[in-house]
Amino acid sequence: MSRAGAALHHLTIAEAGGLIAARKLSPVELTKALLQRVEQLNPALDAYLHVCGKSALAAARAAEKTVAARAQGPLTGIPLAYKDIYETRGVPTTAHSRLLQDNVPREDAETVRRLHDAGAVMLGKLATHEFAIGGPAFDLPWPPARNPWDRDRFTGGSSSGSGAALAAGLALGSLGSDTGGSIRLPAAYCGVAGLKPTAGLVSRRGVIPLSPSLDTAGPLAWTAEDCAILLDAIAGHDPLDSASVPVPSGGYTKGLTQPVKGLRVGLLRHFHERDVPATAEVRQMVLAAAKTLESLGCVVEEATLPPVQEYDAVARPIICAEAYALHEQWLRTRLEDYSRVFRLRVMGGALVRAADYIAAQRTRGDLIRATEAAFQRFDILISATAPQAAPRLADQKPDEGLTRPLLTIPANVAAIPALSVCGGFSAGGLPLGLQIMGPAWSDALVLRVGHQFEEAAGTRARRPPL
Amino acid sequence: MVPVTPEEMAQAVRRAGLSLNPGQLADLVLAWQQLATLSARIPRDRPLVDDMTVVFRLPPPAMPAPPPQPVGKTAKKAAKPVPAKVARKKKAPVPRKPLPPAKAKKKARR
Repeated sequence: MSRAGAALHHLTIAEAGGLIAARKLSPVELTKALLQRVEQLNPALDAYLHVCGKSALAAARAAEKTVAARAQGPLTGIPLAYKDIYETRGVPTTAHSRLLQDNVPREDAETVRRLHDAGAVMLGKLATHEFAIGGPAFDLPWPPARNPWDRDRFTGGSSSGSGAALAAGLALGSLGSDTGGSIRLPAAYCGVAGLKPTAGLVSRRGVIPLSPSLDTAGPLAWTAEDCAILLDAIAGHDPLDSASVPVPSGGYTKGLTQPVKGLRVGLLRHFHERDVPATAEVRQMVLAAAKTLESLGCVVEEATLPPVQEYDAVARPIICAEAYALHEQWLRTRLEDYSRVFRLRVMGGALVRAADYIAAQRTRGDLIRATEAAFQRFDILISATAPQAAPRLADQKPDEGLTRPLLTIPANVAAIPALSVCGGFSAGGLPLGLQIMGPAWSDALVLRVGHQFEEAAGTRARRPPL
Repeated sequence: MVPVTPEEMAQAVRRAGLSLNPGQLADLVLAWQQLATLSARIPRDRPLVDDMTVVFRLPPPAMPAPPPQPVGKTAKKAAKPVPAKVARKKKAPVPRKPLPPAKAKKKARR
């Protein structure tokens, strides 16, 4: 039943789903191939914290029955893995922290439940920065994930295991979370696609929070098309998540092939030229991406938003204060159990005054309005996702964590959808991320542009040399 | 960098209920200085009556429940169209006219 000679671990969700539906590929065969790949490569990449071999095979067998009954959907039998802050019934959910080492939830996160109901197969739980903040830490029970393009390089984070697993072919799709760029940065450094959806589109119930004002849950996969397939399954109102908004959702996959001709694209040149100066390779990649979009019929003009530093100044105190509030009891009683990186990023929240926090929230309103205003002239905005290719792990300096503004943070502050796709490669063969942002609730448009860009730029044919 | 004295920091740490060794205290000072620098960028000169961003939103009021639909035999009966003859015969009851005050008095005496 399998595609003879094809590397099953390098299939996209769309390809695997098509083969499964045509009964040319068995979910059990696909799951076994992925589990074997995980066994072979995970010791070198540390992408997985927990592998669920037995239950994955049981789910794959159930998917086979669904296929036999011709009742399958696009995710039936598709092997996925989740960032270890998504609660999973009966499966450890540690947030990559010593503090939750023995935590075994009784319920699935709402998004995990929806994917399970769609027939997806959960392969296991993936590495993250501790509680989805900070950076790579070597003083935790598990080592940080490694970048499959170069094991000495940083994966980006905090959905570090998701980026690594997808690039290495250790899962076909993943769920991550994004508070300041935690889906898009690993997507950029690992050369995959990752969507931070509009705030309120995807339920966060059962996802361990970091900063409820800015947290969003979203998909990562090899392609924007696969992100759309995952979003079709997980988007939609959840009355038990107070931040979930009852808006119509769905149709993300169907909309991918609608034309992009005539779309007005704003190029945020100041993001990576003035605000957070990027390497020459990254600047070149963004200009080349703009040309590719022009070749698709888009009209590209330069756009401006408030400086990235303004968004950063609002987001960081909010994140620190909210994360500190969530962790206060443990920080008082079990401080030593946290990594140093986590303490550096969160402990300052103890000293953020209520007046500072409220001033940040009020200024956030101004920035939301300023961002909305830019979308009166443009349908989408593009920029680099990160100012460079994946840096060396050894060069990571936790002490400087709060001094480097992130090109991804404006989309969190403005609550808008933002997708990172592979925009090109550095001379050294490392992937470079292109960020595509749209106004609130334009998730389908952002995915459509990302998909058609990927097809035109041809960046999806190249895989890490493993 | 925002200056902070060791005494100020020690007091703030005590107030936060944290117990830190010298290395952790140094980390906190560093983190706080970075955060305070960011916080200082946020404009404070807003009009007093400016919008309140920190709001509590009530959920929308529950929609009134639709009237209960008849079930079983009652439902069939209700759904059955009334034959034309019956419909014509069945006249709506006409309310009686009230008696004029004089007649009403006589009736009361009886």
